[in-house]
Parts: sequence; C-alpha cells; structure tokens
Amino acid sequence: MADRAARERVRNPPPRPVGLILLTAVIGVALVGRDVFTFSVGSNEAIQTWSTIFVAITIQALPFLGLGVIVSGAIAAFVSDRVIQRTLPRRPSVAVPVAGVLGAALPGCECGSVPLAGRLMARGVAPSAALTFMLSSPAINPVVLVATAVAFPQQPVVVVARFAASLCAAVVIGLLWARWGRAEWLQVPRRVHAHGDSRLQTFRLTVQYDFLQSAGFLVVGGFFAATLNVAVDPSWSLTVAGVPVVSVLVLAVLAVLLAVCSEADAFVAASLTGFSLTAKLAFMVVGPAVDIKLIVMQAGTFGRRFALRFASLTFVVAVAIVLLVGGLIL
Amino acid sequence: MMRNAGAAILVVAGGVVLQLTLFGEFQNYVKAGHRPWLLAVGAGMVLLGIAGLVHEIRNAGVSKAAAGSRAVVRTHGPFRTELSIDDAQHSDEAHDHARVPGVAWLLCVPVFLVLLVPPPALGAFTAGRSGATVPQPSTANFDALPQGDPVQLQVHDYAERAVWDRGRTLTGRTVVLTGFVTPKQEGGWYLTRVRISCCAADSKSYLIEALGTSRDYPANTWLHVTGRFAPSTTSDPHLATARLDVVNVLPIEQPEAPYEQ
Repeated sequence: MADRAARERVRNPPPRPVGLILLTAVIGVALVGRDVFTFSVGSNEAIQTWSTIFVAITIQALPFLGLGVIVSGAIAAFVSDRVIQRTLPRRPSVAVPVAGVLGAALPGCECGSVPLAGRLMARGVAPSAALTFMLSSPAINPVVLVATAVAFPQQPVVVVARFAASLCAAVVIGLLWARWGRAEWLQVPRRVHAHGDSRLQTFRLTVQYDFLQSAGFLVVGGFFAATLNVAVDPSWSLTVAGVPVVSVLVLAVLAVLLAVCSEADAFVAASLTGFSLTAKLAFMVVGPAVDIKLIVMQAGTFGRRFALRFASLTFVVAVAIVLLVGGLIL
Repeated sequence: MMRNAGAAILVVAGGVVLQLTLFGEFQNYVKAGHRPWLLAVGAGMVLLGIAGLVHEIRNAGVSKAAAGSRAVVRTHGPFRTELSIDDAQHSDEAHDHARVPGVAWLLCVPVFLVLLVPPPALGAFTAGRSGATVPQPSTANFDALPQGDPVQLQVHDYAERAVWDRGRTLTGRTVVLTGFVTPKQEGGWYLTRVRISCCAADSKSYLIEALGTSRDYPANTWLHVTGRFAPSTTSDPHLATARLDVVNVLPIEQPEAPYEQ
C-alpha cells in the first residue's frame, strides 16, 4: 500500500505553484523582455520577416483549429457509440472509403483535422478510417475546391484532378494502413473524461485539452515552417521547372517545406510559373496531406514512430497518384 | 487557485487574439476577411478559459467540504490506468490539472512576440528576395481601365497589365499607385506591394521600377505615386520588369491593410 502511494506520487507530483511561476514570468518578461526581444528580433530584417510569418501561420490556423476541436469535443461527448458504429463500421474496407467521402463535408484546414482524427480513434473508429478522414477533409472540402477554381479560372479540370487525386490518395493510404499498419506504431489519444463527469464537462475538457495540445504543436510546426519559408529561396525550383518527373518531385518537396494552408495553396501553385499542371497538382495534393507543420502535430498527437512512417507513406503514395491522375486527365 | 494553467493560457492567448483583431494590426499577418473568424476563436478561447477557472473555483469549494472522501479517476483507452486518489486534497486537480499538455506553454511565444515586438508587415526585405519579375496572373484577359484621370490602380494590377499584357490597357493613361519603397542595389527604387491570398506565409511581391525620379527614399517608405506607363525593356514576360514614369510622389503612413489581395 505504501509502495502504491509512492508510485502515485511519482505519477502525480505535488502541484507546483503555477500561479506564482506565471506571475513571475509575466513580470520578468515585462521588465526585461522588450529589450531582449528588440535586441534579438528587432534589428535583423531576416528575423523580423521570420517572426511575421511565424505569427501569421499561427494566427491564421487558430480559427480552423477551433472549428476542428469543437467537432472533436462533440464527437467525444455527444455522439453515441451507435451512431459512430453505423457511420463508420469497424471493417476498414467499408469504413475507409466512407471516411474519405465524409471528409468533403467538413470545411477545415489540415491543422484542425489532426485532433479530430485522434478523437475518432479514441471513440473506437478504425485508425485507418480516421487517418483517411484526416487526409481527405482538408484536401477536398468545398472551400478548398472553390479556392482552387478561383486560382485556375480557365482550367476547371484542375479542380477535378485535385478532388480525384486527393480522395484517391486518402483512401489508398487508409487501406494500406489497414493492411500493413501496426497498432504499436500508433499512440491513440486517451479519452479525457473523469468518472462521473457530465457530458458538458467532457465536452469542455476535451475541447480545452485538444486545443491546447494542437495549438502548442502548431507553434512548433509554425516555427519550422517560417524558418524554411525564409531560408528556402523558391527560385531554386525554377531551374527544374521544365523537367517532367523531377519538377513534380520538386514541387512536392516544396509543399512539404513551405507548409502553406490548404485554403491558400492553390494560389501559390498557380503563380509558380513555368511548371506543368501535374507539378502544380503535386503541390496541392501533397501539401494538405504532409507538410512540416503537420508532421510535428501528428508526432505530438500520435507519437513520433507513427509520424515518420505515416509521412513517408503519404508522400510516396500522393506523388504516385498525382503522376497517375496528371497523366490521365491533365 | 490557478492550478488550471491551461485555462489561464487560453484566457491570455484568446485575449491577445481579440486585442490584435479589434484594436491591433492583424492585417499585417492575415487578410481582412479573417476578422470574423479570429473574433470568434478569440472569444471562444476566453470563454472556455473562464469556464475552466470558474469550474475549478467551484470545485475547490466542493472538495474542501467533502474532505476525507475518496476520488477515483478512470481513463479509458489502450493505456488504461485507474488512479485511486486517497488524499482528498488532490481530488480537484486530478480533475483538471492533469490535463494541461506541456507543449501548450509554447503558445506564450507568439503571444509575447505580438505583445512586445509586434512583427511588422512584410516589406522590402521580402520583395528584394523575390526579385523584380512579375508572377504570372491567373487570367490573360485584361479589361479596359475604369474611367478617371488619374485612375487609381492596385500595384499588382498595374504590374500584371504592364508585363503580361505589354501595357495595352495602360498606354496613354495616368495612374495613382500606393506602395512602399524597395531600394535598387545600383541606386533608384521600386514601388512595391506584397500580395497575400490567405496569410503572410503565401506572399507574392510586385515591384515596379520608378523612372524619372532622382530622389531616393529609405526602404519601406510608403508612397502615393502618380505616373504614366513605361514599356518594359524586354518582351519576354517571364523576364520583364514593370516600369513607371513617375510624375509625382507623396509620402504617406502605412495603410491599415498593408497587403493587396
């Protein structure tokens, strides 16, 4: 019994005086912070540009993250097991395609769909189906498709190609995961409700936990994305713009490095002069599925072992399907 | 009190989002159309945080009243653990305190950045890196300019018409453009504007070479420039630079919306 109590203490260390630490930090930063920050940030134009892009990535993702965690909170608290079982049956061969098509219904950004996929898994949805949903929702929802149509006004076929390629990639990746993915790679988020909590409390706690966790990893991801955004000079890609397969690979890699939001990537792709439509399609299909900010968020939510495997798998499958779809209809 | 650090982070970060959107310069980072969404998420964060704090204060009262009783917390999922908490003092924070992921503290980084050294809008540094060629527009059909003399144009509109339509619609017209100065290495400057489609991470720069002006301005000086179209020196739109014969220059403050869309 004493042993057990000791173990509990290790697991639950005595509460630290968080309020005091917070207060000290705020006062400390207020006193010397401005000078330190101005010294390190304010004088250098590259660092200024970096911090503008870092803040921009964080801020513009917050509303989409908010929407995502509200839905994930609702799934955790209010949706009954029966409804979930009916919509997404346990058999992956059925659930994966359904999840892919369901993704079209949620107008979200890729950041919001990561915690959502975690909640779906916590409610017993097959991981492969939840992952397919995570991939398809930011890529083929109506907002993204409209933005793509606006960015490519003379070429509606690009919208069709994007929809087809992203949906195919999401479903194929889900099926591959169902067949070869191992449970021990994946760290399913725990349900956050204490025994006896009301549904509203479960909702509040889930939303708070998911928002804080995702936003924290979003900050880490934004850190890397802003760094690469400033460090990578997009003009290096222009030298290979005309080469068929290499240009596709280069824009796919650029999509991973730049981490542009799926709502805006069509405009960036459209302005990459000199590249083939297939290469631009690669930018738009790979970006929402795997980019530097998403890898960080997924590593935080599902574990590092998962994130590396999943990112590699996603990249390869997405590029292959882009080459296929681009060859067929573009 | 204040054991629910997560709720405190939410209130502070949400408050900063609200402040930035209502009174601050959020348009340095994202497009104006994001305003309602930012207001919604900022308010949501503050409310959620307050709800957490209120819940905790109430709970603290309850658990004091119920001192001596036992609390049991069960977590479900693959890492099934059951914590029996024998010490009633700990029951309230077992509820909420355990649920602040450490990574959430990183939210303080952008919060401090915005409060202490608000990063400025993208300017001459970004534009200088991107070069003076004009990104290809999504359409090749340019309508005639609206009536008026001079006519007010957006910088990216002028640059696209000048380079990708060879100034067909600009010839013989006087235009007024608003942008900032990007100095040329060999002297002289470009009138510049950054365009975003969502946030500052997807920016494109449009530079117009200013001709017929001997005065130099510091980088990032905002100007109203009146001028007339001058043809580019090369006919290949992938290599051409947009040019403008400057008639009049008026320095101004940075506009509220620094980016074009």
